[in-house]
Amino acid sequence: MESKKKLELWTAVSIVMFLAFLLFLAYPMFGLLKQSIMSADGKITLEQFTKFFSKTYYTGTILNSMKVTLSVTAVSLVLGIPFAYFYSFYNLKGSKLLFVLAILCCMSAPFIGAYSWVMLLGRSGVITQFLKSTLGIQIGSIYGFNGILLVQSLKFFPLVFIYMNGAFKNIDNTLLEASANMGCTGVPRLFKIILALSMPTILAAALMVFMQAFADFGTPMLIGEGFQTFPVLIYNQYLGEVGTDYNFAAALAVIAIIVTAIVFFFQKWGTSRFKFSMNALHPVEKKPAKGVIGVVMHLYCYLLTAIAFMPQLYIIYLSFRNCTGAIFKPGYSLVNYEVAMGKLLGRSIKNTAVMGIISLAIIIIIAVIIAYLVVRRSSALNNTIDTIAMLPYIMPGAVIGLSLLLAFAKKPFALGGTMAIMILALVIRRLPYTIRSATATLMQISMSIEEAAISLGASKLKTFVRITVPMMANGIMSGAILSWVAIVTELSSSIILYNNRTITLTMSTYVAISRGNYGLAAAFAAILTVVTALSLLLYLRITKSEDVRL
Amino acid sequence: MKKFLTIILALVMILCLAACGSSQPAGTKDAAEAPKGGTGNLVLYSSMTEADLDAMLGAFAEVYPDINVEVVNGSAGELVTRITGEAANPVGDLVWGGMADSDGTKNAEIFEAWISEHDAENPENFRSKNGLYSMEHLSTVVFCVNTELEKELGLDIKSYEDLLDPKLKGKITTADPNSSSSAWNNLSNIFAVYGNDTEETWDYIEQLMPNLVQLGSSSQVFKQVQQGEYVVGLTYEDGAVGLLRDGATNIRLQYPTNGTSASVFGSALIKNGPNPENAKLMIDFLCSAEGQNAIAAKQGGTLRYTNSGFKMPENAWLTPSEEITWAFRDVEYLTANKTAILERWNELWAKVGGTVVQ
Repeated sequence: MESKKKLELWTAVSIVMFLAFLLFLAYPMFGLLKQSIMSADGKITLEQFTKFFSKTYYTGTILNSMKVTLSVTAVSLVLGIPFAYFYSFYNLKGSKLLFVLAILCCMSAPFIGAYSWVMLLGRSGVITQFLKSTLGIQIGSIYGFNGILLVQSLKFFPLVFIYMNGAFKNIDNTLLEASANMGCTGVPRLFKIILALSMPTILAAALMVFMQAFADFGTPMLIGEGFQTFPVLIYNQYLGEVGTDYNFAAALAVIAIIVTAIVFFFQKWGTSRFKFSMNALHPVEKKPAKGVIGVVMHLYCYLLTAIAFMPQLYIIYLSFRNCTGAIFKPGYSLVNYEVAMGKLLGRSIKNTAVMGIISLAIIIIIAVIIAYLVVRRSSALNNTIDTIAMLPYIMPGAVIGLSLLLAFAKKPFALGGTMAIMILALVIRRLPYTIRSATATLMQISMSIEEAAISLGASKLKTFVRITVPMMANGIMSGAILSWVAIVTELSSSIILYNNRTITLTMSTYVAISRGNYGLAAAFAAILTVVTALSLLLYLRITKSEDVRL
Repeated sequence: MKKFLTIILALVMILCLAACGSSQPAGTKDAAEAPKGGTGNLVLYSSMTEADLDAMLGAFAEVYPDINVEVVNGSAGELVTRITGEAANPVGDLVWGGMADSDGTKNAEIFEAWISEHDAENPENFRSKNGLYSMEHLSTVVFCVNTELEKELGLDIKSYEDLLDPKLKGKITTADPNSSSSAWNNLSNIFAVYGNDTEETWDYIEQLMPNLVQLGSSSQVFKQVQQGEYVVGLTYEDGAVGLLRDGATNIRLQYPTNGTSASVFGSALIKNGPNPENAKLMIDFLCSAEGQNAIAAKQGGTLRYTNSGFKMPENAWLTPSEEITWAFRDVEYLTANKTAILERWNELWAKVGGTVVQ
């Protein structure tokens, strides 16, 4: 009798979630995408799709995108997993610094990050010139496939690091001790036990990197140099100056969604084959990093982080240089920061913080609920909700922004130009991160703990709030951190939603760049880096004092 | 500790919700009282650069000091998309920058069919062709040449034929004509010089393409040349001249000796905007000879205006029109055949140009 009542609670939650997603996600998307099967004069036709598939100019972009994205995913995993292993299992000196720097690496706003790389490693780049004149080494070009691979891998390996860190923290030490007792240690143990146990998270991380790399259009636009990728095509069709064709653009968006859906289901199938559950009753204790191996570990982590962080450092350096418009002059000063203060710096910071905190809170609550629905109450409805929630991930932010504007600027809502619509865009875009990590984490938690709580008399709701959620905390926080970083650096959906009242730090940077004022842009970007670093330190402080160890 | 943090978080959230409840979207305040011309607010959507905007707003403020102007930036495409999205409840009043004569009537849904009376003061081929844009400035095709790299290669780049030199392989930048009005501007000029859609034109393009590199952004075309990444940029004078004004010493502007032509740009009135009277005042200002001369004086002559009464100031950064060889561009033909031309360009590019598809 009691269980029937609680079942209805969760079913009610399911239905409410589903309706919310229908209104805020499906309705705007559908409004835009239905144009894909129409011609310019409103008749139903598939000509937009035939147009796409008939030209190698177009189909080539998907091939290019797939090639580069798969490579980036592979390289990010190869770079990120050892990093996470060293960080989680050994005591590295300055691990807090590593953590903050690593996350900062994956948060460069699209245009300015790639632009910084060009200034460093382009044909006339600072480092290129240095290597040529001092050491006589001629390095390859940063443009094209190789350049995109380099820049994106260095940008996304921290994603892998964060996910894996969360997973490794949940591994039970007794399992590792047991395997050592049976004679399996070191590298074989890494592969046979540790990686096998964290497979759901590896797949979740791989999916995240894939989706982000696939949808990134800032990097290929600037250093692709003719290597056309798919999101650039979509972006141009929706926001191009010349010949924007919304019907064709909608067809492109539909194709992108289909590609995403295929990858997503592939990942889901893969994850379902690696369902393990354990409880972190004995979390892994960090060993000291000794000897040559210790030095190698430190070297690896610091070198990788340093290289990935270089463009950000360069931007901070540039912010102190004198600059007129797009020309950097010799000499240093604080003039860019002074100008920034006159250009809504205070408001940008306030908006970034306010919108960020609200969006994050909403995202965490929804993600935890959905994770529970999908893992513990698996049903067709809940799986549909899961899939719908993942859809915005592949769509360029600009398309999401546009669809929201078209759907909600109208009279009953009238959200155009408000903070609410920007928060909505942020929540929709960044929900997937936290859902994936929450889901992966929940899968690792055994039902037996919850059953124990229930048999001791706690209601299902109480179990959820007092037992399950705290156990998921590690996984949730790692996903939340990534969502936070992504929210704070959000650009593409804000471009057509912002105005001077709701401007954020990233938008101020973008406006400065598009107005041709590079010194100012560098100042804003540097401030953004500092603000993010501070928020990360705050996060570390909080989780330390939380110390959620059952 | 957890409870304490939860309470703090809840308080912060409530404060934030209160804060964003009080922020109003631009324009709703003004819906109540329709402002008369000369005072009140004005929301300008613009793709122009900082220096141009500062000069224009400064000159405008001298004539209408009581109008409070708010600027929203973006590229032309982004602005049009934004206006389309906001159509149910418009926030912007007018657009300056990015609205070219080659657009035809494609934006008829979002702009009022109103043009300034000063548009008639333009020379005949610079007047509004669609009744939506009031034309006020030109963007002339120009090569932006990196003088240091040019010297290193031992070249002297003056004409279109000079661009075919094999030493320039992969060293000439352009934007994508499918998405950039400046790249379309450059392509239109090739047609103006070699003939509309003749075999000669397409032969030239086919020979030029291996030397070309396509960038995603029009402004990067000249900026990367100044940075030393490329030798020549096929670009527009008002963008490239900004570098000279800001102090660049390693580039020069070369108008192709075969002949050059320009895209004509105008300002447009957004449909059902909140402050139409003020918007009309600004558009009239932009199109009038007095307005253009006032702005150009502040800019130092970095923009070529269209009004017959406009005169480029002394010591302008731009070369005076009398010293340039002009070619005739058939805008009607190009606009009508744009889709076909772009399709042929794309096919050729996939075959001969920089896209790497294996």
